[in-house]
Amino acid sequence: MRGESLKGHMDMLLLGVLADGSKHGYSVIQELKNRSGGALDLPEGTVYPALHRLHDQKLVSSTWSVVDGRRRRTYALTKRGHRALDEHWREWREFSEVVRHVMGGEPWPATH
Amino acid sequence: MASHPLINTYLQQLEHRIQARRDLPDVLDELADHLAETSARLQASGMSQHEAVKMAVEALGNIDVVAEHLTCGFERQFAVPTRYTRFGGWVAGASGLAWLVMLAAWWTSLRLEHLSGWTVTSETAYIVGAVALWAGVLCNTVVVTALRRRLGAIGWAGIVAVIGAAAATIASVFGWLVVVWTPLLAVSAIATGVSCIHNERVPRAPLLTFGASWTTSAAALLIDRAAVVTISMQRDMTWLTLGGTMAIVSCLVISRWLRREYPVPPGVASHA
Repeated sequence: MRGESLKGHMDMLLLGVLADGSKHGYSVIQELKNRSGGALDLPEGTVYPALHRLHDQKLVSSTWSVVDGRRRRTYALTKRGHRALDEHWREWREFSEVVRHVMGGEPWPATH
Repeated sequence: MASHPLINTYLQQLEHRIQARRDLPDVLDELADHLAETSARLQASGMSQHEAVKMAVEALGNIDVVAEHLTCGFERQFAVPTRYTRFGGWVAGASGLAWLVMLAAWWTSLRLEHLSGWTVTSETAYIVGAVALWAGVLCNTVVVTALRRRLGAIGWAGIVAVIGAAAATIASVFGWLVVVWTPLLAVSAIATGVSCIHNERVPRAPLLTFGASWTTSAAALLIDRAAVVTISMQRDMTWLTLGGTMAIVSCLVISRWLRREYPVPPGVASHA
């Protein structure tokens, strides 16, 4: 999958991966690869800026620890992050449903 | 920090490119941990250390792409002062002071000339102004370089700016080369201003003033020079005063900006 296709969805995917529990960058990337069956094979270095952005937006928190003599940063979803994930997920389901209807030639139920 | 030469090289090159990040040590530690863990797992699967590290570095991604992602949206965090930019900030203040001395000295010289003709006193005041101007030009080179250092990437505009400022400083030693060094200064200041404004990394107003001040002053100095060598023309300080005043203000603002940490407003991050 091209990185371009992920525009706007990266945040949701990262939040989704972190929803199961705190993880450090390497684990987040591996989880993205595993859950997507390898389809999400991004340059790994580009995932970190996205995590940092979520951190700046206070959607994830981070803690530092020392593992094998190295400093390690672990990310966890905040309450705000949980709310954002729910919102992203709702929007995504709605959008994919619309796309499904449009591509399948079915009219989308009218809303008032 | 990681120990393998390939990892160290990658991180060192990356560090050079992501000076924008105020949390630079944390970012480097995080990526070092990632590279170490990736290569350790690859080694555990039977790869040689060299192959594992090489693959880990490749998987992390092209250094320019990663650097671009790491700095995208963090431009305003660029304003982390270093020892050099702080020094540049003080020099910018000195440059403003030099401009002030130059204006005061040349106004005095002009006034004395009007009152009692071209005397030793008016000539001394003129020379003091010229020396102050040269000091300002010299300071300008340091200020331009510090601005470029603060911005991280040098770029074509930065190269033009630094070379222009340095060449102008050298040429300004010879006063009669005014037709050479003043345009060089103007080009240097404009290149600095344009590149900084284009990147939106510094406050616009002082940079616009900085570019405009040298341009105005360059034109004024050329006119002044023409006035000195042409008997029929009177020396006119109007444009030089305007340029000088603009330079004083911009130098003081730039001085402050170079010395302090720029505030990082919340939500500056852009979306990938």
